[in-house]
Amino acid sequence: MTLAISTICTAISNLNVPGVEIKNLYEVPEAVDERFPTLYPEPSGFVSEFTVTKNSFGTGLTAMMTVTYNLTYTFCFAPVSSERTIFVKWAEMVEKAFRIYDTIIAACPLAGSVETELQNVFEFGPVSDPAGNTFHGCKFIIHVTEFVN
Amino acid sequence: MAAQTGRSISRYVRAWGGTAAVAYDLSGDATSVGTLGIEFESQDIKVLNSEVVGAMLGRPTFSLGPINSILTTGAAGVGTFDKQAILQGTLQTMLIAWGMREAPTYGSIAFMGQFHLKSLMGLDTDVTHSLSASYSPTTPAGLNYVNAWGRVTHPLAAETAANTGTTNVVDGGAATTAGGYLVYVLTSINAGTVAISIDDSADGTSYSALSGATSGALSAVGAGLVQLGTTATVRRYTRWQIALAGGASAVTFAIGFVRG
Repeated sequence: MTLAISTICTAISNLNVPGVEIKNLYEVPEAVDERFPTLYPEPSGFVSEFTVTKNSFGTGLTAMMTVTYNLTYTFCFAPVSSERTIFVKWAEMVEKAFRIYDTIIAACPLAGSVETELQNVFEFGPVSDPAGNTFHGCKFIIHVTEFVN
Repeated sequence: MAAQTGRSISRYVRAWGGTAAVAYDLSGDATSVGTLGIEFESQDIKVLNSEVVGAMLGRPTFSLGPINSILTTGAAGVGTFDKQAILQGTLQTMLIAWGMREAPTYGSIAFMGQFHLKSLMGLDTDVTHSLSASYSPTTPAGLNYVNAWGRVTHPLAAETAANTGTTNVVDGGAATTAGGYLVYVLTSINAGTVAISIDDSADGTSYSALSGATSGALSAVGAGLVQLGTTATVRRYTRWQIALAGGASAVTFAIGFVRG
C-alpha cells in the first residue's frame, strides 16, 4: 500500500465551496487571480509533522505502520487593496473561510486517507500568494492519517 | 459480501442493543465501547490443606464496556440518558460491530451477547458531560456457546420487503455443524409484525430458512438472542431475512450471527 497524497489532494480539490476555486497539487498559481477567491496547496511548507509509527513486526514492505502528516492550504479571498478601505472585504472573507471549514469537516475522512481532520487555522488576516501579493485570507492545516500495509 | 479487510479506526464502530421491549443505536453518541472479551475460569493451584475451590472449566464469561457516550437527552427517548437510564438493572442484548475503514456492512466482525447494566454514571468532563455505562461480566443462563464473536448479517438499516437477493450475504468459508446463535436489534417498525431470521445456502445462490434462527413475530421494537441447537448445521453462506405481516411495510433492524 502506497501513500495516497495525490488522491487526498484531488479529494480536496473536488470539494464544492460556492465561489471558491480549489486547486490541486499541479495547479498552484504563481499569482492568485484577484477576481476569484482561491484555495491552494501552500507550496512553502506544504507537508509537515510527517510521522511514521510501526504497529507490528516486519520490514517496510510487510510491517503495519501508521503515517500521519499535516497539509497546509492557503486561502486568498480578495486583495487587501481591492476596495476603498482595507476591511471592506474582510467580513466576507471570514464567512467564506468558515464555509470552507464546514465543507472540509463534513467531507472527512477524505478519499485516500484513513482519517482527516481540520486541525488548525493560522495567519487569519493578510496572507501572501506565491507572487507576494497580499490578500484577505488565511492558512489552515489538514491533519492526515494513512495506514501502510 | 462486501470485502472488508485490513484494520480500521474507532469512527467505524457501531453499538446497537436493547431489551425485549426497548432498542437503541448508541453509535452517534458513544465515544468508546471498552473491552470486549471472553474469559475462561481456570483452576487455582492449591496446596493440600487449602480450602476446596471449584472452577467451572469450559464456561466463559463475556465482558463488555464500559460504554462511554456523550450525555444527551431529548424527546421520545432519543438521548443517551433516555436510552440507558430506563435500562438500569436489566439484561441487555448488545451487538457491537466493526467496519473496516467504512461503516459496518454484511460480514463485518461483531461482538454480541447479553449483559447486565451494572452502573450508569454521569461524568463532568472538560467540554461536555459524558455518560459511562458499565456492564457485569455475564455468563447468560442457558447460553450453550463459548463464542461471542461473529459477523454482521444485516447492519442497522431499513428494509421494506423480504430478501430475495444473493449479493449481500456472509461467506462463512465452509458449512459448520456446531449450531450458533443470532442477535437481533429491531429499532423501528411502522405497523403489524416482523419476524427477523437467517437463511443459509451451500452455494450462495439457493437459500432456505435456517431452522430455528428466527426472532418470531415482533410487533414492537426490541432486541433479543436466539440459539440454535449445538449440533445444528449452518451452511456456508448466510443472509438476512424478514417476514412482514399485518400491515408492516418498513422495519429497521440489525442482525449478528455467531457460529458455534
